[in-house]
Amino acid sequence: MPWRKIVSSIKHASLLILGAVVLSFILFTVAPGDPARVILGPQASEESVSALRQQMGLDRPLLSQAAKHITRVATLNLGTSVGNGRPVLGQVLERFSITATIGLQAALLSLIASYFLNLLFHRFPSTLPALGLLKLGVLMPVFLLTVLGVILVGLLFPWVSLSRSGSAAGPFTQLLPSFIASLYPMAVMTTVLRESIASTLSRPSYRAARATGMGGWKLYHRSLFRPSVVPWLAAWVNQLSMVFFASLVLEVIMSIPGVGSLLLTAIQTRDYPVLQGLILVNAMFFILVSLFAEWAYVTLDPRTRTS
Amino acid sequence: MKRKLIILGVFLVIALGLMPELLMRIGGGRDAFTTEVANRLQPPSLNNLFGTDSLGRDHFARTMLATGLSLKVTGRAFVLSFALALLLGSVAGLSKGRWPDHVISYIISLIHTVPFILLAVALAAVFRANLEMIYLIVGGIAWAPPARIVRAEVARMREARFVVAQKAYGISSFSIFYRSILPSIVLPPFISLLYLLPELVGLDVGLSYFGLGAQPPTPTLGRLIFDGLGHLRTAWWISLLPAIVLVSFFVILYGVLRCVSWPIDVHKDA
Repeated sequence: MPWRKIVSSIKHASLLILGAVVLSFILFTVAPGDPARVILGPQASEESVSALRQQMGLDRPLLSQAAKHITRVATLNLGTSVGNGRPVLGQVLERFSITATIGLQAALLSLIASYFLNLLFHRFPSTLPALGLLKLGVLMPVFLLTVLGVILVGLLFPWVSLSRSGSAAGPFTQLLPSFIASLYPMAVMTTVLRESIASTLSRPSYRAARATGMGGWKLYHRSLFRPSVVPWLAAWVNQLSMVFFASLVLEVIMSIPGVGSLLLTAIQTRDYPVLQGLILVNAMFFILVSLFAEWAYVTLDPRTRTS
Repeated sequence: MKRKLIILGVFLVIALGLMPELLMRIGGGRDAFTTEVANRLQPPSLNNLFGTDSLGRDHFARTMLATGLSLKVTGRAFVLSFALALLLGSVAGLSKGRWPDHVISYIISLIHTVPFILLAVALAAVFRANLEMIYLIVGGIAWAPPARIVRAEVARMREARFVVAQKAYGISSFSIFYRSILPSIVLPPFISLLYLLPELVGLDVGLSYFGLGAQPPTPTLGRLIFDGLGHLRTAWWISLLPAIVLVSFFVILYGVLRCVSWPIDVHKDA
């Protein structure tokens, strides 16, 4: 991979990170209400509020506040939570790891499932109508799928506990949320891979490969699957944000202590540092993922190297 | 092509414009807000088609009102984000490689870095959004994915042979864009946005959970379904029936779309 490309993609990623930091600063600066007043509550005296304003640096000009905010974030200091006084970064990371586990499990599940489903469609074309059924998953909002999933598990396997607390939490509690969150991306990615393979079927390269006498697995993987890897993976990366959306909604419904519940308390207590930290950690994660994805495309598909 | 677009447009105006109004008329009477505690948590019957909720309100009226309200908000968000996607995506595509493109592409990437629901919740919390403002927030976020498609399509069309030929013929760039490029790129972002619709309604559930958006006693689908989850074991109808209404709406919507304008390719860039 050419160095120039690496440098330019790192430059792009760091610009995005800077943007996210500035954006989070602007968002909470233009927010109505005085942060110091929010922290101290409506009963606090005017003097203590202005003292806290001074302490927090809110009385200084905006630009110097912004500069201070950026340097603080650069040293990974996201401040302390207004609600419980603990450092924001630790709290957010702790919750984020739960959400990220569900999200990544779901993403992997959809990747693997879409690969095998396409293999199935290729070997047995009569199974293709199943794709239509899968697309039905797209019609249902995630929260509905979750509710239906919980009800279904309750009816079919009444002995399974879906609660996360205590010793009852088993592999099932781990996998059900991931499975539900994976349905939407599974439908999308199976379709993307199927379409790409279908369009490759009519290409001369495929006919040439067949003419050489190649067949079966080798033919499928070399001349059908390989050229479709990049659109497939690109769809996957786009779906990641969808998966995280799904796992946030899921957590809320299944009361899993992930980012969702932290978000809830942060909103109820107007805990802006925590909100800011949540946005920043999420942004950082997705920027890094897309950076890796870009490198992966170039490594996997020679055709993307020239453009 | 043109006929397809017109049919699509008319259909959408009916589905997202007229139908919500009608539904709100059906449910908007006194029923939706009259509490009758003696009659609470009754299962569906001829008297109360969808049963009653925990305060004894007629659940059918509330569901209709909620569907209307939710669709109205979603419809507005849809129109707003589609307009933004077309406008900003075209500007970026036409000026590919120059600064307007850089700025717009940067904003699109920035929106993509944070999950939608997180951004929507944060914005709604910070600005203390009410139901009237929610569509501004949702529309202000949801334009980013289709705008990316518009940008790519416009940039591709700009290099197409017939566009170059028209330019050589001396036709002004504006009329080339308006007459030739725009009609041929409208469909893909439209479809991709359409498939985001269920999630836009789902966003409402998320916002309801966080206590943002519609405030009680005003029902939206998200509120009804979410409030009903607590009663799921004893009174399934409270959250399940609105959910079924919602899904059947989308099944019918996509079913009709499939018949009217085939082939539309669905998931290319979803």
